[in-house]
Amino acid sequence: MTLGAHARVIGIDVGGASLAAVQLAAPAARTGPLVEAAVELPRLSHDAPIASEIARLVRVMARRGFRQAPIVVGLPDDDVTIAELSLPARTSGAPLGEMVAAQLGRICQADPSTLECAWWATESPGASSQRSLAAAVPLQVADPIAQALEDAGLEVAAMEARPLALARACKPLLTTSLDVLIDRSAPLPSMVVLERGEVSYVRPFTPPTVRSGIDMSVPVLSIEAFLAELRLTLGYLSHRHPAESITRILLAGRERDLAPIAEMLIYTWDLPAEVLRIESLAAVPPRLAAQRGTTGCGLVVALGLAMRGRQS
Amino acid sequence: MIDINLLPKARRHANDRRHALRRWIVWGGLWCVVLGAGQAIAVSSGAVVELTPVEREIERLVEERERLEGEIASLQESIERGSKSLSAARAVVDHPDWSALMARVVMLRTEGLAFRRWNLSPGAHGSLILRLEGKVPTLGGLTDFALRLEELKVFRKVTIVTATAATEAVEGEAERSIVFSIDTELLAPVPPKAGDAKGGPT
Repeated sequence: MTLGAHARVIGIDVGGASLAAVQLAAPAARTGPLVEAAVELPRLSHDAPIASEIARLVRVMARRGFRQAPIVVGLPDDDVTIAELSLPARTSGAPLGEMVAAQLGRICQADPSTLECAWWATESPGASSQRSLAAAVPLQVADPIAQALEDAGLEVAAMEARPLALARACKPLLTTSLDVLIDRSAPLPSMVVLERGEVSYVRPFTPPTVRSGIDMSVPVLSIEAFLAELRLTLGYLSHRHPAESITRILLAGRERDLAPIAEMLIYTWDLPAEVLRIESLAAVPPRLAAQRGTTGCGLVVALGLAMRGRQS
Repeated sequence: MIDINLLPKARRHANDRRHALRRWIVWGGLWCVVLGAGQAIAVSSGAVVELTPVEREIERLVEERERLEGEIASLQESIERGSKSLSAARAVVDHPDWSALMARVVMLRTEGLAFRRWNLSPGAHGSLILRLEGKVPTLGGLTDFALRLEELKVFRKVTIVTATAATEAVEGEAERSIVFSIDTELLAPVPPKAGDAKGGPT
């Protein structure tokens, strides 16, 4: 299904620490995105079945003024594999789809036929080979989520990796060179690098070294370990893009998780950080802002999903 | 921005099929509504389809053309029938009556003379040559028959072309005879006999 420029899709983020849904108003000329309905629900538990969580979200959405529309789903980060591949140019006539599936199958150690794959070039075509990013999700993960939404009476139009939605939502804030975005809205943080507004590198941080004292099932990365990972990544970026410097870091996630990171970034590298909130990326009507769970940081990915198909 | 879709292909195809079906249903419904509305308007306005004079003239001309084509076809059949009978009649009329001549010539036979073949062929200046072939027991009988033909005053010229002695076995005994052929040139064609298709030498 192709979403048109005037599609009023509903973005649902099921991959974050909480469940979030956003629907935008019909785009008007010369205006940015306008939120028509939004909701963020905390998850009952990290191990709760996704079907029951989705059913709960859909019931709340019906009360929060969402209109019937196709759904764009943001998949959990730990179920989506994003890898950098070197592929022949499109003009070579090589079966790129099969090559991508085979390489992702090898990376995921899975049969390629059990994966749903997609890829995009991160460098302009024309050379004999092109650097690309590819994403894969196991069908056994995507199917139950789609089925749960269809069982709730919704029509799933697309499923997307969360970093792409995040980049789309942040577009008004992006520079024309290099941007770094840290996503702490998922159980495992990840870093997304954007070159000229397009996702060119995604790095999930290594498995957790410390577990939460409140909920032992939720893996939590310590601030020190997180900063060590970030140092490695920034070093790699300065090596890969020696001519470009990073002047700011965008942070997505829960505010209570982001505040210490922002402090450490300033203290350690003198890097300013900007916490992403839906209010800074889209217009939120006062009637919505007054409701609980309709503003804040947890809705940014859902906002990016709802912006899918819209021309910027 | 980059839009990728990780929705399983089977579900995407199911979505496409569902949307295509929905589009067909919507367009089909709209078409039915348009047709129904058009019919309702026509019925409610009581409109009767009136033909313009030109259309009526065209219809009349078409009917006239069909009628004329039918008549032409039947006329052609009659012409063919008439043409056949005419050619048959002409064939009968142009054919001369040879029976009278044949009867006269047969009466001139001498004793034992037998004809084997008569042949009529065109001669010079529009005349006709009648060739008589047969056998006769004696050469005298042959010359006598030739003289009788001349005396008939019907032929301009009578010529004995061949007269050859031959022996034939008749009932186990050898019999000698003269095999002859005589050419006779008729003075004038025999007048035709209308309505009689028979006759004519072969």
